[in-house]
Amino acid sequence: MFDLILMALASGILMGLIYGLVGIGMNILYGVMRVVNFAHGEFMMLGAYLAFSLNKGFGLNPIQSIIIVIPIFFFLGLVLHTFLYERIQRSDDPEVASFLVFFGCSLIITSLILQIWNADPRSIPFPFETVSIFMGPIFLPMGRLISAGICILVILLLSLFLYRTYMGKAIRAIIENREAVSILGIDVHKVSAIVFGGGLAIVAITGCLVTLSFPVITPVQGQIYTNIAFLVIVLGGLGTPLGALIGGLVYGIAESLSSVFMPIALSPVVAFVILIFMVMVRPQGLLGKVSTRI
Amino acid sequence: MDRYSKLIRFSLIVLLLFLALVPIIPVSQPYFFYMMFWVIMASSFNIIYGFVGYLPFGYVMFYGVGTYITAILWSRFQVPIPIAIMMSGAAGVLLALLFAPTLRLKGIYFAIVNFSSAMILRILVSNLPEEWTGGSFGITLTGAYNPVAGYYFMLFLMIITICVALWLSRSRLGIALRCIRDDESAAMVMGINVQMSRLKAWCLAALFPSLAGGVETWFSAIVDPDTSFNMLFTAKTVVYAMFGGLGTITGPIFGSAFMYELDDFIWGHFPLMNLMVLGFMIVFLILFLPKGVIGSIINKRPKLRQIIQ
Repeated sequence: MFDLILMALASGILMGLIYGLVGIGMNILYGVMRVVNFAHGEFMMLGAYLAFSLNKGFGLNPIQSIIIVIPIFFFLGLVLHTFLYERIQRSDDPEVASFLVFFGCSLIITSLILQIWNADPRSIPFPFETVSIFMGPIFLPMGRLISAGICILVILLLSLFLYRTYMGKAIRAIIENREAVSILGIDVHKVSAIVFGGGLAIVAITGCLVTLSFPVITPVQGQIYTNIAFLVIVLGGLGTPLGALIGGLVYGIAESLSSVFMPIALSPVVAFVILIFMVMVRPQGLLGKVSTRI
Repeated sequence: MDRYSKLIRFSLIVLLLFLALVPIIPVSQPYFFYMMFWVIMASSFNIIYGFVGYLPFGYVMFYGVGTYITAILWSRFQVPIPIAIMMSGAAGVLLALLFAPTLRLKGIYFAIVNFSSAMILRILVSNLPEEWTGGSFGITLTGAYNPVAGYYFMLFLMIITICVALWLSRSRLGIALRCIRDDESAAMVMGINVQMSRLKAWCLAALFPSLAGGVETWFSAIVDPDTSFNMLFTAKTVVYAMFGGLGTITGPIFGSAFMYELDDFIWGHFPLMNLMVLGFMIVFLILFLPKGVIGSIINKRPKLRQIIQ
């Protein structure tokens, strides 16, 4: 039993890093643009399916696909930004409007995936020699270890970008106070275009990593990841990009521990229950100070 | 103006007569049954989103609970169907009261929490003991199948829903609700009991979908968790209501009738594109027609508000 819990903890931490990265993408989008990306998980699945096709067509493994998928999604983000951003901001309630628009996008993407790749579960043949490594009583799947490693790398690069560059500072400033920033002469429109592209690029990375961490991908998984992303950013606090990492770890551990003690069919309930509980009791997140948005 | 209202009254009576005759004359009965079903869904959704400004993104849960309560009461406790349908309505209101604390959330938080609640209900229902809910296969009510009675019940329910919506738009409560939507603190200062008014609207909005769910069980004689808690029900309700125009009475009715027709056409000709068209419709509506067809007409010609509401 003790071994089981230890193993659940270890896999929870590995998965938590990926969930954290999923949440960070969404959190930056929300923080900068007040855009609620309800299609987050669907964009992620689109990335995963692209990785699948790149593997099938060109024999690339998911890690090599990341390099190709990033510019595609960055460009997609720029295109979407041009079409959607202005109009959403002009509506009466931008947050709810964006929520519904992206819900529409999620339906479109799901149906697109169904058209191109069918509803069959797909998987990418595992590209590495060792399938898993043992550390004492715990065994760690290699795919998840590598994904977690890449997640840490991306998160490090992202924090360097957010805290050390001019653009990163502008992004954090916009999250804190939009109006003041536009008075100070920062081009909010340009920054948000870059954030939109970057946010989708991060999503695409997680999409590629998912094909390493889980045996199969199906078109309907997107919904689950969108919910996880919501949960993670609510746990970590809206608008604090790196808080999502802590949210991801907390959720990853909670999820894998719950699968030890509860029937597996009920494990998605854990996410929703934590989400409702957090929103009702502590909407500012685990670390947040004061909430002004609720 | 008077001539117009006479004309409208006359065409309304003709329309109702036609709907009442549908089971007798040779037209597709399910087609009109589900059209009325969507009118009820969109009109009651309008009460909570159009009048109060709360987006319940798990709206399907009221319908789902309605279908299941009727199915369980009939098949496990031999309760007559009409009474079971009433109990479905009561269960819907009870569920609304249970989720009443979530009304203190706003905007997107309310939508997400409501959505998560619907997901929890769906997972719970499919994991309850088989003797109760029939697991993921659901319940088949072979002996209860009675489409004609179900049809008239739905027609009756639709008339009541529209009457309630009409009453609400003119009543004190309706005015209070719009005040709250536009400026909550101002409404509070004016002496409106914000929590209570909101709760009333929330219960009303929960009542009709659960009743409609019960009637739908009578008509189709089958329930299963994947249909009863399908996200697309919420999506369609939102689109149908928005297409006509939120905050108006005729909007959701027109929107449901038109969009249902369109949906039916797409299903018939390009079944694979259904989801994509629905997605594009949502994006298009929010970006280009946020007030809906009727809402835009009223916005352009405010005088017409006297005739169409």
